[in-house]
Amino acid sequence: METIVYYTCSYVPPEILMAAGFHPERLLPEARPSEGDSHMHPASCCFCKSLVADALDTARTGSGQRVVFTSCCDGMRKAFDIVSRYRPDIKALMLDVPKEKNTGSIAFFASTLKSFARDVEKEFGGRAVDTKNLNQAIHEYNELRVQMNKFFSSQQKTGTSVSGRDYFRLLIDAASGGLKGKVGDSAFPVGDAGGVGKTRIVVAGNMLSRPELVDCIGECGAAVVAIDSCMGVRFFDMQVAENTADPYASLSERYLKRASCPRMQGTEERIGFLTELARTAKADGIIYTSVKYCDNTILEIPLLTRGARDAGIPFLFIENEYEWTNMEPVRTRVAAFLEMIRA
Amino acid sequence: MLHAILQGMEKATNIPEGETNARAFMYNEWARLFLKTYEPGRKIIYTTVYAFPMEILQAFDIAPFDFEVAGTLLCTTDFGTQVVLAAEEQGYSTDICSFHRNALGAYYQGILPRPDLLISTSFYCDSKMKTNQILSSLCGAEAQTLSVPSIINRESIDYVEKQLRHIAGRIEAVTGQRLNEEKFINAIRSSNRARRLHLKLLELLKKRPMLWSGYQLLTFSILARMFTGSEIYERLYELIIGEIEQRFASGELPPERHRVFWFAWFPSYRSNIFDVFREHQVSVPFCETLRMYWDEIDEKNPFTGLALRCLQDPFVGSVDRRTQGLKDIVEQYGISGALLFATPACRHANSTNRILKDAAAECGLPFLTLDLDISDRRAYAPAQVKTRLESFIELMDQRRAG
Repeated sequence: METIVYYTCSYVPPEILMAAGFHPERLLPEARPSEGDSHMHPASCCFCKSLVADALDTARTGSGQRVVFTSCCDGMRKAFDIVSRYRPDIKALMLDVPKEKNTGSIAFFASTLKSFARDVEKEFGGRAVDTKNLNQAIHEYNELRVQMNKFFSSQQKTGTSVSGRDYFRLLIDAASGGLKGKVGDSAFPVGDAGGVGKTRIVVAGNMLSRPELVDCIGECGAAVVAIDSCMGVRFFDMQVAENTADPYASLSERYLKRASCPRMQGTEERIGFLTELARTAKADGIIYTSVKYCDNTILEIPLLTRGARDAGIPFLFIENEYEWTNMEPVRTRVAAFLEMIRA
Repeated sequence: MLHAILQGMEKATNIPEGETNARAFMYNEWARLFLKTYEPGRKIIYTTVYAFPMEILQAFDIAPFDFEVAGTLLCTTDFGTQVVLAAEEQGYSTDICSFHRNALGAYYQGILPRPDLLISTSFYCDSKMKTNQILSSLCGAEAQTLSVPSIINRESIDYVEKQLRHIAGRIEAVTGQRLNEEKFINAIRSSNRARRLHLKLLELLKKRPMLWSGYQLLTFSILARMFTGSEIYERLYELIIGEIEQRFASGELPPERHRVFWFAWFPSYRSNIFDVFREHQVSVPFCETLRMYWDEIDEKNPFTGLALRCLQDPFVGSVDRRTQGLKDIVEQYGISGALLFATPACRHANSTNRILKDAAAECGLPFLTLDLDISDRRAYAPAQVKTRLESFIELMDQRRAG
């Protein structure tokens, strides 16, 4: 059985981890942000605090666990510092990710990824990553992206509708590496045309690892036609060029150029991506959610709201504490939003 | 409004010839620098004066401007709250740093001068870089980001250096000016001279008692960097060193019970922190933003040297850079406590408060996390601040007694 290497951010190429002989799995900590307050300032990202709380819990996180962090945001960089300091028995690596996707940044990130592969071998005890096994891993992940994008397209068509909960479960499965080797159609949930006539909603945001919001939207009688979160549509955007002489350059190009997360430069581009997604999916509205204290996201909300309004798409922003314990007010807001759309 | 504030500040700090006053000099030059943005035809470049190498901007005839630093002026007035509210009315969350809500609110109120180019850095924080991006979108002006990785090696130095050269090229394109090589080298030389003066100042601050106001030390440590690469910076150091030496020579030495090492920032509005400290004979002889972490810049390879300085910044990379050498500092500066000024939204400075606290504890120091907003005074409660500080002072007393 392969050893798991966890990664905390969608800018980590799991291809490298797979090529090194590991099973890459997205780290989804339990929702326990207040338990992280002892070691991370309370006004820090609730996802990062949960991550820290999980790491400090020796019953949950065993010695020798392997985790890859990135410099995606201030919270994540600090979470890495905290985990490295208080759980030195956890093998943690930090991957620096540039903020821009220009030629210089792509070239630099390619060299960073090469060093990262060596660190994975050395610090995690992985096998040597060579061009052959890396290109093989790239191919496998590309196949997964093809299948996921096929599913996303089908969900966007009027008349088919997998439930939001099943859509969400699929994303979690993909993140946990549960779809590896299962890229045939049978691995994917099938719609039952139950979405016909329902209000169509795109759910977007950052880390969404609990189903409460999509369940709530379903319970309010609407259909979730796309989920563009950290592990959603944008995570599967773009292929990595295969069988190139420099697979690190190919990885760098794809990871920096794919539909981006708010931690990257390019607010206007993201507005364009989201409104186009909503248009393609014939969505009646966008519900955008952010984990509390994510500065990169909350700073973009006013421009996103304006961009959606200018595109004629109703937009609702809901903040969450990663735990989703405040569901009744959320339900009220979702219901009111849907009522407004349907009126 | 900002124009009026700057004009008022320049007038109020214009000291008669023959007199010297370091504080007045700094505020006067700050006002004059930012007033350049109101000169007709002057190209305005938004930047991060405490992070982006100002030496590069010295090589151009432009008006540098930092919306965070300008925001500190706004929040000293009654308009401060109005400006922050203006941002909140546009949908900017109160969880966002008030410095950045200040800047955004000031934009919406038409207070900020219109930039020709906006430059930000990936350090210190996500929020400033993002605010820069948003202002760029709102103003329709070009934005450039200096992305600084956490590892220092040949590749990362090359990467940062290339970006600095590219940004210099963009300044040329936007301003229609060429980088003046002579001015650039002079700026590097000036910066190196200022560095030597900085080391002299650091030695002086080891002497007891501390004869410089802690608030002025903090203000200088961050804001004076806007003069990096100019003779104003060197003059400022000379004035400060001169004043401290004069006070020692006068023999009028105030009593001093405790000396505190200060992490991060300070409130931009008038608060009672330093009144409480003064009352209890507590001084602040050193702060993390005054630490020397770079070597002299090689004037034959200035871009390389500046790239390395960016990479070495303590706020890039691991928090270990902030705690490294703390034991030596405690010993050399006679430190009896450490304080972290934790403005709520400053995740990069505050999130590792536990690590800072434990590092202080390893040096035998009591540690206070003082949660107080840097520029939004709506939540400022002087009585609470007094209570927190006095408890902290009691801990330092107990440590001394024990």
